[in-house]
Amino acid sequence: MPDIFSTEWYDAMLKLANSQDDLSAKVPKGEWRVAIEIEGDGISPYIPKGEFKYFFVHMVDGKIKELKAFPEKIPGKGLNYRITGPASVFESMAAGLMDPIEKGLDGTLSIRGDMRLLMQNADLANIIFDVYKSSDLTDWPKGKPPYEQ
Amino acid sequence: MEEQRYDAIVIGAGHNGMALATYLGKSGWKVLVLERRLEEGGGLCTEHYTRPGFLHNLHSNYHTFVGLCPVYEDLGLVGEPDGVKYAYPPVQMGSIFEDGTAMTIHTDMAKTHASMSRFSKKDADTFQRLYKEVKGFQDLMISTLMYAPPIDVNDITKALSTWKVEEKTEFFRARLRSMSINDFLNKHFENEKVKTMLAFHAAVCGYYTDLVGLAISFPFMLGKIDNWRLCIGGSHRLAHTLWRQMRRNNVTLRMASPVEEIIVENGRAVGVRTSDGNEFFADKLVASSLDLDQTFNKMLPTDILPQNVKSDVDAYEYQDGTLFSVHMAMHKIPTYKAAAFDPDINNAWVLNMGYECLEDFNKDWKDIRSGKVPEDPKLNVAINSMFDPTDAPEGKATGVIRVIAPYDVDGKGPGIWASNFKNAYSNRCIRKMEKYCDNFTAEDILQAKPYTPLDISEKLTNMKRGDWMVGRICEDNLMGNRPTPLMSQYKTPVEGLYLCGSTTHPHGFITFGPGYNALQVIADDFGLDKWWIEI
Repeated sequence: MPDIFSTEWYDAMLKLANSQDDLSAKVPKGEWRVAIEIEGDGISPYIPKGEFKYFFVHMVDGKIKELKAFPEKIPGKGLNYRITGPASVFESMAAGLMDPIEKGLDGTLSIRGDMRLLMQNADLANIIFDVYKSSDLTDWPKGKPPYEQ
Repeated sequence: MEEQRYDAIVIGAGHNGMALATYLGKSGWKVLVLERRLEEGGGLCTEHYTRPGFLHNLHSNYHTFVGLCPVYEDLGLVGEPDGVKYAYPPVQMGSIFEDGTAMTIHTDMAKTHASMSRFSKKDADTFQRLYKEVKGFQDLMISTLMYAPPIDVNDITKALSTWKVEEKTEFFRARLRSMSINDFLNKHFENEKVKTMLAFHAAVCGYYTDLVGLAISFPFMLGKIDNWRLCIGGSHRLAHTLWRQMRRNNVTLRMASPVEEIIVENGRAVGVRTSDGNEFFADKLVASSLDLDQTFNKMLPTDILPQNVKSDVDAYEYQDGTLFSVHMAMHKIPTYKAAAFDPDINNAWVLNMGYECLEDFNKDWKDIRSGKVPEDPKLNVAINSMFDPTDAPEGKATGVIRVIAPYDVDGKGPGIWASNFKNAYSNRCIRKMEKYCDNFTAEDILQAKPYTPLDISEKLTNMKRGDWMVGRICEDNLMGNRPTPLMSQYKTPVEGLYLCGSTTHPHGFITFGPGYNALQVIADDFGLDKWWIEI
């Protein structure tokens, strides 16, 4: 089992997402580019405090063509969405312990981009989050949420 | 006769028209903006209205979208090198009550909580939770619901349901669509003065507290209750900055050039004819920032519009009320008796003097709808010189009193506003203000000069019936219903003719939303690179 946020983990996530027929069916046709920024918050054991991990998701007609780590902040030009938040929150969401919508609503997760499309395809967001919550993609070698603070 | 060709022609040099033109100019288009008046800016209008040296914002005074609206940053309108400067008063708003108490809204929400707690700890806690909740999703919602062409409200409520938002928030509910702001306040708050303070915020923002459906917007509105900003040197400075940016970006602005006709050939808007007989042609589009009546009834040939669209245009409704203002050149800055209760009230910018309870608002709305000028004026007072000493000679001050008032009075039209009644009503407003002050009487005013609903509509013809929101704020005329469902995406039935003014979503106020949203549609239609969008 790979570490969360490792290359192997991204690959496993990509395969899992592309195996979801309902996800493929519900993503509007066209290309979607999403940047995800995860900030080490001193709680997560996987990203040192103050450091960032960046990954990029490129979807084409409902399939993820690319899901990869980036060494630096991904330029905003051409992106459809940018999701930013603390590492422990991303990890807790992956472990199914936190609700992404709730974290978006309370501002813990910053979501930039045109929300109209997500609103018009609201169940798509739920499917994506369900994929992300598949915590069995990692065996959490450095510890698993909930973390003691 | 002059004939010139452009890529785009924008009718009206208000803030929306100028912003759209600047974006298009920065995108490489050759753009012409035509303005009826002798100066640009529309509602960004500042004049030495009372006496030389005293600057008065005749229309827009409160800029509440600075830091929230992307246009400021995209077009370099704020800060260095030559953008405008804004004052950000630490004590943003206040209510002074007849019993000598006062409540203040601060940029520091802990201080707001402390002020509200003196009236109701429970309400102060509720407001704190509400504010925190709204702040969590404010950016997301503002970018989605204001700075993007509108989607169907049903899509929004469906998404809220799918995401189970109601289980995850305390205040944000789909059923707010069937509630008034009064309903919302009565549901969540207990103290009448707290409710009044929050209702006053809505009223100044142009939202009537008794209209069913407007509660849906109210939480977002409260999220910016601490974002009242004052343009240093007068609101017109922002118009100057826009003009500079237009000039830098290949946009031509012609003043005193009222458009008489939008030229349509083969069903497509191809240019305009101005009152001096000049014709200007647009290869790509004509965008009107004017209201529906001027755009469709006065500028388009009569046989162009389908009958159903013409009926919608003719039936378009405006706000029940508008504003009666008293602009004051003053010897000094007033202070208030209620400072004995809360000293911060002397430093507050946007002040309520007169509304004591929600019923006071209801009575005003009722009066205004029946064409009655409120007998007992409830004042919105702002002393700008406290935060912008450049707007008056040294040692002096400017201030404004505003009262919500009808345009048509007693079914006799707006004529009364041209009579001596305006001076009498102005004096009544000043006497009312005196009652709250401890150092200030009419003797401290060098000159007071009323500015009436009729003045508004005559100076800015876009603000028909003096309506500075340029269309009724109600559920039937917001989001995808504004100005009509057919034209809510900034396109008209005439090919090549777009709408970009405050008659479209979101509404009037210095939001820049209509111009910015029209830009998105135009960019999609013409394949423009959206250089302004960086996620």
